[in-house]
Amino acid sequence: MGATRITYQGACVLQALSRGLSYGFDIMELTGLPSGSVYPILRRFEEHGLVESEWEDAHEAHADRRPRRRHYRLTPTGRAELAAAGERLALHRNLFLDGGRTEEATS
Amino acid sequence: MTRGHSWAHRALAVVLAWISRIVPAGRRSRWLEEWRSETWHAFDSGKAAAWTAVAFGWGALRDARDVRRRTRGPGFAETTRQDLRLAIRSLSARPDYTALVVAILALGIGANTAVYSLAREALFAALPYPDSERLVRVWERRPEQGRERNVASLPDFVDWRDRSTSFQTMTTYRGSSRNFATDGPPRRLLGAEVTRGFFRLFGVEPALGRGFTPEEWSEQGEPVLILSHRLWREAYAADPGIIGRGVSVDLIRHTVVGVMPPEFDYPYEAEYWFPRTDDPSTAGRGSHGFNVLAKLKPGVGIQAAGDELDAIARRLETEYPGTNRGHYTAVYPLRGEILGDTGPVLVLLLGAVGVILLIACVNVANMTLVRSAARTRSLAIRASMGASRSRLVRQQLTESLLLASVAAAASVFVAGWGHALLRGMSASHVPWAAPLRLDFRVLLVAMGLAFVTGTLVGLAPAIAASRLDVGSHLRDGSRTTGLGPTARRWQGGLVVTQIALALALLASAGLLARNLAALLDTELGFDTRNRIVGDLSLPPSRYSDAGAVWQFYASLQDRVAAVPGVTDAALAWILPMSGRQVGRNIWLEGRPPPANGDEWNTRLRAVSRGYFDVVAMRLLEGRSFEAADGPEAPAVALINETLRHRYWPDGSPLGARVAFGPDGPWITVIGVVNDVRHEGPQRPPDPELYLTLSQEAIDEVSLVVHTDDGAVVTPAALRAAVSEVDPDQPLADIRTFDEAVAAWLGERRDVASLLGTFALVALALAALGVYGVVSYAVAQRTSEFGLRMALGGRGQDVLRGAMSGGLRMVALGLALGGLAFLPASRWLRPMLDDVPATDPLALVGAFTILTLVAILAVLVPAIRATRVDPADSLRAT
Repeated sequence: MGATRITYQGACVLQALSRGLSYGFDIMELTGLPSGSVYPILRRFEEHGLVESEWEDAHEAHADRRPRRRHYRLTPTGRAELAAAGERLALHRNLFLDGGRTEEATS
Repeated sequence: MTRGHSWAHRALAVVLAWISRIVPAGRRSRWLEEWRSETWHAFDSGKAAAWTAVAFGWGALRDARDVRRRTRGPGFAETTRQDLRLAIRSLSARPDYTALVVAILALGIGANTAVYSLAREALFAALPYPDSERLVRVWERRPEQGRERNVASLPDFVDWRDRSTSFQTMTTYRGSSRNFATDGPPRRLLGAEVTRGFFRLFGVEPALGRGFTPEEWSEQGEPVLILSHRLWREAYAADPGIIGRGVSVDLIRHTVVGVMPPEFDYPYEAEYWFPRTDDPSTAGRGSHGFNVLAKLKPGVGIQAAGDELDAIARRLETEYPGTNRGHYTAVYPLRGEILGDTGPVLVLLLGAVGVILLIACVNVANMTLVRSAARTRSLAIRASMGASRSRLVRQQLTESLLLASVAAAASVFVAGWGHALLRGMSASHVPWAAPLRLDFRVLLVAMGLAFVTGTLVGLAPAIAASRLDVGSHLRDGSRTTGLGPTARRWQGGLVVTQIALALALLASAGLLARNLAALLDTELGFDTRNRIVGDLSLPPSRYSDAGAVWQFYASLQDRVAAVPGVTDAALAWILPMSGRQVGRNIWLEGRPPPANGDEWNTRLRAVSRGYFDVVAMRLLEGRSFEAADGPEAPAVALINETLRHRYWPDGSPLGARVAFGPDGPWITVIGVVNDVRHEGPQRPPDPELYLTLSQEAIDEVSLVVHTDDGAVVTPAALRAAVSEVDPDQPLADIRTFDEAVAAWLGERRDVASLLGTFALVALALAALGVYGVVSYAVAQRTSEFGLRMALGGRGQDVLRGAMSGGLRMVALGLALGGLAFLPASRWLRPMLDDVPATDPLALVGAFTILTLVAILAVLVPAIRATRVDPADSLRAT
């Protein structure tokens, strides 16, 4: 799945998952991304094997008087992709820092 | 498990359920569960405010669309390519089916395209003149006589033109018939005397030379004329040096000043144009003979212009009560005036070919249905391997559209051929001679029809096939597969439709045929067999006085009668079926003058001695014209039955005197002749007054020749006889009287035969449809029939069993067709003269023909069922 192009938003979702978050709504909260972005990203990653999901046990949720939830976690592939994406994003960060200096110089 | 959440969350739950319908069915319930659960928890945690429900809804919509987009499989182009490849392979595997379908569809589409392109020309295409939608024709209207279109007098025209403000241009012309001296024999040609503004109205200029100068328009200076492009080409070899040369017209030298462009030949195929002055003093207010054309000012409606002219005409009525009482005006678009009454005909033809296409579609749909039944196994296999229903339908549609496209390509040839055929028939109805153009709009129509056809043809079988119980077909493993009940119902419905449509068309054609037969049966009042007619017009320059005219007519009549093979000859001014009419008001001696100037209007004729014998009219009372009724003798006239019964219902008209004014000169009625149908069998006879040519020196007459039975009298022989009397005198437009009558019935005959052809095609297609369905049903039940025969069933019972289904469909179709025809026949009314639109005979006839043909179509395959060899059929199972 090396061909997967991971966007900035995608990297954020992966990063949130790697921090142990596993529900869509929590990821939204942490990353600030809207639901219309988070869920499609999760589905795409799952198709490409970066993420796997599991429905929690229905009995357990029922006992808790709430609907059962689907939770997501990173696969090893997902972890590797996140690392690669992290390197690329670090480059982006440099780009932004450079840009900042250039701006200071010209003003 | 619900805790109390806000109204916002409850509303969101409803919205989510609604949005979930976007998600493909296989993933819908899980998708909905996750979204409901996530939003539940969000609200439960208290972190979601009411407004976030909207954000969630928006997000869910985007997510659902994303899921849908990503589960659709291969792209549109890829699928189409696959479908096309499959369609080509499966169509070329059955070349007979493919060829038949293409042929049927090409016929249907081609016929529609041909009729459409003709209709477009006749109904929608503009006249080939700039701003032609503003061109109008102005007529004098006489409501009290029921006459809507009368030619005007020159002074009236000048008053209309000068007092009105609605028109940019108004001009007038009169038809002209002159003798042209050419290199060969002299020719009598038709053209027009036109007044100032005529060419400007049409926005045309001579292609060669110049137009008329103001002096020429006022007929001062030497005589000039402009030639038509056709005459210039045919008589003068398209010689550009013709300009400025002299041409002898009616024995007077006229200088050619111009040649018009080829596309201009108004009025009706004019060969030349003379300038005529529009000075109102050159013609009387009571002398009618001027055709008035006008061009509306931009933005002026035809209604407003008509109202203005009518008001002017009413003022003229009070100013000139002697000549203008009861004379008003009517303004019509020139386009409709030129085309005449082709609208209803074309609508009828469009309807008829539309029905043909529909029947063709139904037929092909049926064939496709049967074929798809034969392919049930392959469909079942594809379905079991995961092809969705929409995928299978799409495949069927692709195949149908491919077939229809090939048929559309083929139909262009059918359309070209059909259009040429129609044009040949309708040359007199579509006057401007535009060449056949299969332009892109026509092609677009063919493509559109092909698309609609393909969809119609493909949809029914595709849906029917996709409803097949796929599993059972695989399980039972039988080699013969059949249509399911739904498909069979579709099939039956299609056959019923087909028969109903064919019946309606057949009955329509029958109605027109009955009408035509009634017209042909109408007693015309004269005999047209073995009669030849030709036209003469004597140039005033040589025949300036009455004596010269009479001398010429007398010699001509004797000379022609002496031609071998000629029984007798006569001359007449205004022949029946000539399309001409001249009416005058008459006064009766000793009776009070008519209250209204037009009350005693009668049609005038003038004939030579012997005319009534030559055309076999009957003298009913009194005597005919005799040699003694010469120029010096008292003026005499004959009247027809209609005139006699109108004015002398009781007493004898013989010896009564009539005149064209209150004070004479008086003409004595000496006899009564039978009525003739002067304007064709459709029109009832008018009152007629016959004068004698030996007392009226009219310089434009027709020669009527009665030939011996079986004798051949050539036009050349007649021309030679004429030129022996005057070598410069042409005899024009030589034709048999039968041809003249046939031309009069031309449109009725053409429409009836065209519709008859369409009806036959519809009949053949419907029969084919019935035959196909019944043979299929019989083939499906071969084993059953075989079993019944083997168990000792009688052939009769098997036959009845095989026929019953087919006959039920036929009966239903006939009933529906009869119901559909009754309202549809109203469309035919404009084309019917003597036969009512509800004439039962046409419907009964169509019913009988269709029943017989349909029974035959059912019987043939049913008989095949009785011939089944029981052993064979059982083995085959």
